[in-house]
Amino acid sequence: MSTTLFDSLVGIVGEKNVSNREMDLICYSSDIAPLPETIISTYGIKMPSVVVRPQNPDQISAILKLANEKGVPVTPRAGASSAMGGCLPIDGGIVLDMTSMDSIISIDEEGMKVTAQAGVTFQKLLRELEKRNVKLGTYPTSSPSATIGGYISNGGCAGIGAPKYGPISSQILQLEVVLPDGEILSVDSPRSSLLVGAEGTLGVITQVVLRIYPIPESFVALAYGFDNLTLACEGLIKLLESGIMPNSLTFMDKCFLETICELGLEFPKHEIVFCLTLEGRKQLVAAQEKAIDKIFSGGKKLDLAFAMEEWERKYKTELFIKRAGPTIILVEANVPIIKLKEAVNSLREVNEKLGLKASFYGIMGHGGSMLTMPIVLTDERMEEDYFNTLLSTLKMMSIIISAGGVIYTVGLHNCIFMGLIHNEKKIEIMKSLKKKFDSYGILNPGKLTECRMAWLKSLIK
Amino acid sequence: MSIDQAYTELVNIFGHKNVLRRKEEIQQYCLDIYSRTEQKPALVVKPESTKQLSQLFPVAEKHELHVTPRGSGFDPAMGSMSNNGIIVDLTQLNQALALDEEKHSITVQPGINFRSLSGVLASKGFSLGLEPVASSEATIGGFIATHGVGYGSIKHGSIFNIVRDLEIILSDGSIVQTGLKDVPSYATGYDLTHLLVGSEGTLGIIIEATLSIFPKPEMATNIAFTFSDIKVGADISREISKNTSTLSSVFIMDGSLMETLKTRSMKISHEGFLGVLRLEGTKEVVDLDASFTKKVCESLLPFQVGDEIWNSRFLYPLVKARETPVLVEDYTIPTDKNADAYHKLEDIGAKHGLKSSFYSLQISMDSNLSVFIFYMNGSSEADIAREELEGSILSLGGKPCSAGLRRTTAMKKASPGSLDLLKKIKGVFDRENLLSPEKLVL
Repeated sequence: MSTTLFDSLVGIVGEKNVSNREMDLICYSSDIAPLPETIISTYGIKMPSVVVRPQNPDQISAILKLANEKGVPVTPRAGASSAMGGCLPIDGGIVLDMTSMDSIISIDEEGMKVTAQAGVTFQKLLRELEKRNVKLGTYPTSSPSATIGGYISNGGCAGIGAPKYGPISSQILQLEVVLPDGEILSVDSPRSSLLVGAEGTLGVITQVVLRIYPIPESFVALAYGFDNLTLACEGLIKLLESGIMPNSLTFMDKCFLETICELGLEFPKHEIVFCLTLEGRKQLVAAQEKAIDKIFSGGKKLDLAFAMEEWERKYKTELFIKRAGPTIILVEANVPIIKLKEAVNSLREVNEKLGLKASFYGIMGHGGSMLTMPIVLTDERMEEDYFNTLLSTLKMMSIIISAGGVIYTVGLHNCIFMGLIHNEKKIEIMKSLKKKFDSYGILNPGKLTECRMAWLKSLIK
Repeated sequence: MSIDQAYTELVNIFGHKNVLRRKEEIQQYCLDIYSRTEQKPALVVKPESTKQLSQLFPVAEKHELHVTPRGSGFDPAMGSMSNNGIIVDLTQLNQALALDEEKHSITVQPGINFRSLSGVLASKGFSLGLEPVASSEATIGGFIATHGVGYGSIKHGSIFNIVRDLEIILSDGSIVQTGLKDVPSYATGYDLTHLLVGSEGTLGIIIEATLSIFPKPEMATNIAFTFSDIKVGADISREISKNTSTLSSVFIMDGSLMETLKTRSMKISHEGFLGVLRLEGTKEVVDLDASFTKKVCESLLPFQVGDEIWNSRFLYPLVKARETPVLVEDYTIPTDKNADAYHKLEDIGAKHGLKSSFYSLQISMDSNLSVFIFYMNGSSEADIAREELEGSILSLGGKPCSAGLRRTTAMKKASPGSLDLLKKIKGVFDRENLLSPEKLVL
């Protein structure tokens, strides 16, 4: 008699690291943006049959070999803090929970690098680094739950530090990855870039060597309020031209601020609020602050205490709004800052027509881009309402694309836009790469190069 | 395989003057700038258009000739050389196609060199922010294909950070746009653009590149300092890089290279090393950084210098001005191991009776681009010395800047998985296995 999948997995990772309890399976079938039943069934999303928590790359290698042998899909998952459905096990099978692999292996201050397992959260890693007076360059606002492997897999080009330190891709010195056929490779830059943004479809990242940086002498948090979108966007363009790179910059629009205020927090009331941080030598920070005051003279400088408070709750603000939901649907788009005004305006116009209320939150990325997130509140228990809202947000994405933006992570929901963004030949190469790495299509199927939602396209025209 | 027939067919595509085969015509392609071992290509073609280039591949395939793209030949690892294949000289595809002042980007052909490119940018008030160490004659295509680092890297990173989008031609003749022109493509599917960076012509030939550009800095200033113990200079350069925002370059050279500068009537006199750093930005911030910098290296008696040293920064003319032949190796080395690397060069040189030179540019807070030079003077031990040096540098965590035909084994030792990955994906891009497959063979 052949052994069951469950028993084979127990043989690889041990009993305590495998589960097929219903409660676990339910928890592992969604990300931070739960989907209602109708969508799950229309999308054809299955429940996983088993959840595995591997402890090392050899175990992952064995699991992937087993999966190939048995033809069982494997979906890697870590913090599940992306809302794009990239970690949903849509064909069922094995969910590979990477969060047990969270050791920090070494912090090398002399060599200025840290080696850690991919399942470590940014928050844990940052805390350990801070004890040695060093820090990471770029990290996401979802740091309490987001893991380094997950952020890298999802592209990591917007976040705290991104304007100054660049995309996470340029801070990777080495990646250890288990390929779908079970081969374990250690790949350095620039070849490692293939795994960045591959969303766990080409391999499972197990260990990362990242650059680290000294914690600068001085730090300041600033905030500016604008009563007019045009002036705010002009200010941003001037900031880009000035060459001053803030450590971070977030923006919130009126609707976002109002919703937050309704929830009982005190936020200034403006059309647009920018919160930004600067770091460096004391004198330099002071000079930059002065320069930015001038650059943002079209707006009003807000209370420093508010700016600092906003920095302190940097991991919370974006999701605080979820409380007004209970469910949010996020559109995540990367928009060139020179097109930001156009994108926001055309979205607002359409939303008005649709009677849709979207709150805008954004975080500046690398290379003059803004990760722009219109957030729509809904309730996944009201199925029809949810479905309509989802369709509207997909429509919003296509509007952003016409205005010059692109999707930020493909996942499940954004697959339908790949053809709008990339040429056919490029997509063909992506598909061939996937085929080359994963000939049986077992690793994170139904994502990125494989669109199962083509039928949705006709609904958002 | 018939070279005669291939020649005739290629002449039909590229025209008589753009297909070379006679010994005296191909002489310059048998070597790169620093190599001594000749590799004789069967043919050299010099495309004037991408259309011509796309017609090359069926001919190459038919006659079983490998294809090796070449810019100005500044890769010291024989990366632009070919044994019995076809070299594609890209230097006639050298146009700047579009400069977008609003989006801060420029689209160029691969054969444009850095001197022309910076001229085009300067006329519009921009700069590339990054330049190769070897020469301003190096081409942008070659720089991308070898994952170029250089002057400006400490601020802007390697060419990896500057490249936004590429257009490449594959060996099946198809043309692919790899990225997006206006916005980073990191989270929109597989990152094909950066996969091409450092692929050394083994995946496709770059026919167009869109790069980020930067407003020309308001001002620049150069500060020089001298020191006897390399460790002292290396530590100071590191300290400065951690605490300034306008530092665009900091490099050190040893006494023997300094001698060459002297022959250019520059007044520097020191037995040990010369360090030069350049600050670029707004006047206010440059001034702040300059006074900070001077304080950090106060004990080394820093002095402000004009642009004459900066204008002599390219290494190839400096090395060429000295005795030849030379043996040149470039590695990236962790900053904290750079002084050790220098001592290895000195020890190995002394052991084999070879004079040497050392040049090092800091390219990030954690790494340097270091160039090791042996002057051979007819010594037969140079190759042994080079091998010993390679072993020492690899054990210090150094990596060769390119593999070429000569350093594949070293590359394999330094980053085994990366080479395996490149081999794995080669067939996806280069279905006919025509593009320099020998570079990946151990």
